[in-house]
Amino acid sequence: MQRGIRAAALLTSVSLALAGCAGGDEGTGEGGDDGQVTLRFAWWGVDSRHAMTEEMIDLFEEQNPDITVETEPGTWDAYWDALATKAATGEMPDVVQTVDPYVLEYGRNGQLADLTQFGDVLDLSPYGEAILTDSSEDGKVWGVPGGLTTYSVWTNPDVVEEAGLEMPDDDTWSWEDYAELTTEVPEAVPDAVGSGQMSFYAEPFTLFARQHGEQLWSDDGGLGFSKETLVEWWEYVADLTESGGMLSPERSIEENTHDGDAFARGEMAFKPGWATQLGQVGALNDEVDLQLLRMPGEDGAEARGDWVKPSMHYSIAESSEHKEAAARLIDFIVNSPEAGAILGADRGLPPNPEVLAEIQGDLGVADQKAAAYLAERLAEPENPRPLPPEGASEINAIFLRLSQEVLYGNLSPDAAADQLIAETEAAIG
Amino acid sequence: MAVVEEFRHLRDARGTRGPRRRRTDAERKEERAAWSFLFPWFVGMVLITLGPMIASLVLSFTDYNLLREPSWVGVENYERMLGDARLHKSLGVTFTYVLVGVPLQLATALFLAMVLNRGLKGLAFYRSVYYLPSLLGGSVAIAVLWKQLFGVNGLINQVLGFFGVTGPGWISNPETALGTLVLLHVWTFGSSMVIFLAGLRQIPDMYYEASAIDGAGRWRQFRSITIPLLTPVIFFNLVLQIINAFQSFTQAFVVSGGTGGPVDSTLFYTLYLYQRGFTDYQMGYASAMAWLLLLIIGAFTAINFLVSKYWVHYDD
Amino acid sequence: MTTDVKNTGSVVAPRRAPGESLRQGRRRRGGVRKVLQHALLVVVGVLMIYPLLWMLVGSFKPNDLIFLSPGLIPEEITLEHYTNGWNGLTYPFGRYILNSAIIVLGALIGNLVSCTTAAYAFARLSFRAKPVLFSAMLLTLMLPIHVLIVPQYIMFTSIGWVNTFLPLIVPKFLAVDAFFVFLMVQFFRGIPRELEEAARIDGAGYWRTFLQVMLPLTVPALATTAIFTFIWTWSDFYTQLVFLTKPETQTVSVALRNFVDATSESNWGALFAMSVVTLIPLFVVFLVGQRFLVKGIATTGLK
Repeated sequence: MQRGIRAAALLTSVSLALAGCAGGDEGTGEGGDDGQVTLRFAWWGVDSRHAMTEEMIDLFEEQNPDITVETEPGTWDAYWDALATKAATGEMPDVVQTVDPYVLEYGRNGQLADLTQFGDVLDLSPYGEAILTDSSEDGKVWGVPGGLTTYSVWTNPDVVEEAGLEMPDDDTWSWEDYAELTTEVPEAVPDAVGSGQMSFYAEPFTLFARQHGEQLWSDDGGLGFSKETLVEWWEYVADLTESGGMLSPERSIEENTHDGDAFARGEMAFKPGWATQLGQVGALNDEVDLQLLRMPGEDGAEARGDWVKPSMHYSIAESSEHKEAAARLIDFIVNSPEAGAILGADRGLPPNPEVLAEIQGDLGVADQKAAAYLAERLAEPENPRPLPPEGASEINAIFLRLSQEVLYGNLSPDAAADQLIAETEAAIG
Repeated sequence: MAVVEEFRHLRDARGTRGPRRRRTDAERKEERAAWSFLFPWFVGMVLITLGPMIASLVLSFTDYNLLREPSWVGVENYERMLGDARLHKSLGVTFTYVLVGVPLQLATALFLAMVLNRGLKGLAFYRSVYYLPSLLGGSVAIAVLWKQLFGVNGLINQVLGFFGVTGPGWISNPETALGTLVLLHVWTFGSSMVIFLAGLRQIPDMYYEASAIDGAGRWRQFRSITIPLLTPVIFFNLVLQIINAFQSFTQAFVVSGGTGGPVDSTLFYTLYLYQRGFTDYQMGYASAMAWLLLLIIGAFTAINFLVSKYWVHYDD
Repeated sequence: MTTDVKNTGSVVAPRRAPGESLRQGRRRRGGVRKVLQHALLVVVGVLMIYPLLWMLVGSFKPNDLIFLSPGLIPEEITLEHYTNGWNGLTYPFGRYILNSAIIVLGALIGNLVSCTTAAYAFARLSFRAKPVLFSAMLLTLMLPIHVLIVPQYIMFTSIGWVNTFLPLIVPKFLAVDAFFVFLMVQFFRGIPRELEEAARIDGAGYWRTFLQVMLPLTVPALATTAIFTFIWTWSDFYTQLVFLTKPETQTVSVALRNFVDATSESNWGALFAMSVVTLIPLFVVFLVGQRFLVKGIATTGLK
């Protein structure tokens, strides 16, 4: 059984011995003699985020002369494979930016440190249980939220008005209302689009299922929704796409993987998206008083559909030799207003209410709207979400692929639902 | 083709030097010299290629998520490949890409190599310009350039619109997406073109002169001189391009944003392998997939060598 | 160099400059035909590199205008993408160019030294393990990198090489690029044996024969190897991404990705501008080197 694996290990070590350089100092083992510690910190993002983060780190190093931080900025599409490769060799950076459900996957596999062990050094008291849901299990906390966000409908009131429509009341609008409104937009304004594509991500469906009293995952680690709900969802989306209310699959794919967003160009009325990312549409914010509306169907639903979640987390590698220093760095990032002032809402709104209050006045117009919207959502009673099981991250790719099959008419919603359930169950098996 | 010759040569070498015969001093000296020349290559082969290769073979019999120690599962990964519909789909995509893309690319490369062979001023510049697309290769910029050409509102559709035709979103339609990647492959014909140019250079002018005296036209010269004499080079390009095309990854990764979509229509085998290994963290399964790919490429290369006897012409 | 060959009377490569032809004199036809040919080459060339031209033009357009028109005439010209792109990342872009250049240089020397010697052994010397080793060499051409990378990473980590340029350079000194070994083998086979034998009769050892007789004859093939190594190493992405994670060690192909991100706003203008900047050295190298390239392969005797 294990012999083969041992043989592989042996082979590797033989190779190393042949190379004459086995054994080793990895260069990160700074001696503790002078108390100087070097941390490695990895995150993903674009150049603007890298610049902000480097600035924040300079400030941290200034205040903590005993710690040097080596930065490892990366891009999203290459982040998780590089991190896994490092984890495989016990070479994970000390502090890593993570996201659900990877944070659970790494935590469950013993790669991340339990953050409750640091007491005052890393203050977790500002974060309620609900906020830590995505990153904790069995009393262990593997990640501190680096930002909060929630799902919403970005709305361009100018397009709504141009189509001769009333702005909807998002406290009461139903899915039928949404379908009617979005279908009327292109009928009135031929160049405009009613709604962004809703079915390329699992979140809108998750919200829909929760409104039906279901969940994406069940408490015992299986699927938490019924086939009927999924079929209903795909039928809704397919009908809306067919009637012209929702962006066609072709254009949605282009916008998904490439640039040139119809909403950012001011040609789309409604686009479901994360509230805190409204700022990404850029210049449009200066021209139009964009609104954040609630997703439809909350009124009269069996349970609350939307939820507030961390947009990402900060975690500490279990393999780190300087966990305490790493905890100090994370505490600085999430709990100090100075760091908050530099980072702004780039990674989502600061989850620490004190930090948020401190910097709110300095946020850009879109982020201020997001903050107000998020405050309303946080004030409402929670509908807690069961944790995703191992292998859960595969559902996003499966969902995207089968949604496209449905929208291109290759599969009926019914057949696609069967397939999604079978594939997902195999993945989490 | 030298490879075939090489194999013939190697076989003969084995035949003439039976294991029983005592080797002479000169032979032993040559053997020692050979090893001194080969030493760096051999070290690299063992350490950097063979070691990891065997490690991946072993991993292919394990369940390994990179985060935990691997655990032995026997042939489970290989059994799973039999029933994996996406794997079969990715094989279909890859075969289509190889069987359509490689011949088209080689034909384009050959045609342009003949045009750019000789007789015009400024050929160096033209060649460099025609090589430019290959320099861009798998750059991130390709994604947006390809959308600019093949998007719903891309250049192709604007031209079609001029003639009153409404084109689809070429890169986002499952029917046509793979076709745009084949075109991308054809577009980066530079390296093959360079090798063809070299091959054309080798054909002695006297052949053409002789046939011109016999009154042969350009087309007949092409068919009866250029092509036959070029078959060794065509073969060389074919072998290497097939190997390369089976391993194509970056183009599909960049253009589809890593998904292989829409609906897996551009799911290259290596892209699926990458998704399994590095997105889903199933390195055991990914390793098994790699070994299947190695077998497939090996089989194609072997068939290529076998068939080459019937169409590749050698001078000697 | 090649004069040696001429003196011995054997012709290794047709010594003719590109554009020259024995047939040229006989076939000289009116200038009209030439002009037509040039026109055709220019038109096809422009079509072929339209996406690149569009990128070039886009790098001079303000961000909000880049995607508005497919045309090649910019309505408004700005250099801001070049200044922003050059200074927009953690380090000035020159740093990444320098890193890439160091790796390219190392890889270049490595390939030239190691692939040549290995190829000479395969092409000219007989030894018992040759059939097995030669097949093994061909086999390494067929391996997908993505699966080797994890064991390789484990190995390079345990000897502390990650985040240095060593994992990208040292393997080249160990001739892991089988393509070039193969290419050089073909080349050596094209060189007449008599030259070597003459040297051997004069009492030269294998290494002296290789260094003094064979190497000077391989200059065109060395140029081929150098140019392909330059181009492929310069644009290689994956291994550089995995082995170099610190910003100060990153290379151009990795740094370029920082302008684009699926999860937030991409800076296309800066990406285009810096893509143009990184393409320039490649284009120049190819423009200068293509003479050798064509010559180099022509003499490898690909048959």
